[in-house]
Amino acid sequence: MRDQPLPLLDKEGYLVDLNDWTPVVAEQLATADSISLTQAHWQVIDLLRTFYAQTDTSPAMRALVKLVKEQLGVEQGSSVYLMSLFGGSPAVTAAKVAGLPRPTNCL
Amino acid sequence: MKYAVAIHGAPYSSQAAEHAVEFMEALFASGHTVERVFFFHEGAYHGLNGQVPPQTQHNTDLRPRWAALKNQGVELGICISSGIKRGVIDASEQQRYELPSLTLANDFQLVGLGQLIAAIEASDRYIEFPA
Amino acid sequence: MKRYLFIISRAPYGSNHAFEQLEAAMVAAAFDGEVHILLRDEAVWCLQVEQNGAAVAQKTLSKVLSALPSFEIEQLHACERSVTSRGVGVSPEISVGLLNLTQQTQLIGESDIVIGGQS
Repeated sequence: MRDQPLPLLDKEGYLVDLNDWTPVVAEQLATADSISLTQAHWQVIDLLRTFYAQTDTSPAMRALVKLVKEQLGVEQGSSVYLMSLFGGSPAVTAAKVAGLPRPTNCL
Repeated sequence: MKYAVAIHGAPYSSQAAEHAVEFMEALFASGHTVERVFFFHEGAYHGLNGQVPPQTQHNTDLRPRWAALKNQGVELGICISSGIKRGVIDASEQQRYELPSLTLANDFQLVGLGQLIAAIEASDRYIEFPA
Repeated sequence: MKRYLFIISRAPYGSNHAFEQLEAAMVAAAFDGEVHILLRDEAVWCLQVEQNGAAVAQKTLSKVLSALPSFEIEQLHACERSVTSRGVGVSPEISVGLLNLTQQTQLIGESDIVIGGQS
């Protein structure tokens, strides 16, 4: 798995072509951010990919918390939980690993 | 009163900015203030630094009037999401996207959409100059 | 926080205007504003079922509209006359209320801030 070359990334580590995403690529992107993917990470990644397929939008932080709460449960639907999985900027990092575009930066 | 102003029209395709500048100059002349001008949609093109107004239309050159507004404390904020996709690029975006040049004019800055909402919340009135 | 109304009157494709207005509405909602969106004139085509923005390299606006509740925007309205006169078939994924002209007048009157009214 580690031997596969990474697809083309932009300077911030996002896929240049979102169609390059595969589960193996997700593992590689996560490793680049010092995250090792567990079942809990994959639940969020799957949810993000389904949401993006349905809506063409990458959820920013609040929308992500809301989605996770609705679909995975109240305990998981908190920024603390998401930060424990994806670090300081979970919406940004999770979108990157899941092969979604950057969420719209509003600040 | 304090105003938040938005400009949606591009230079030369629309007179939105001329109208907005006249309006803001009149506001200051009557003792009002402007919190921020937010350049949205095609209005983002006003932030380009390479504009050459036609010699025969000197009165269309808004640049000295933007500078004067800036000196009166008005922030000239280009919507970053409208701006960067249209090539209005400051130093940090130039670096981030590895672009050949910086194109943002001196008196302007790239700001998030949140700054439109923040300006509206901090003002008594919001007025918009559409394309 | 003030109460916001975003009016969108341009067609979903042909310009980026409708999408950029939706982005602004999502940001206003993220700031805890009460956000309403009103689609009228050509913008009601954003509601049309079975559209495919990917064919013109844009986001599919009906899909984006279906995501609004996730961004805390529960109030999506459309001009009834604009919808029926064009024969728009509203996507079942989108939750939208149709308003007559009197109701639209009332909605505008009840809003503190109206964004995108004329463009």
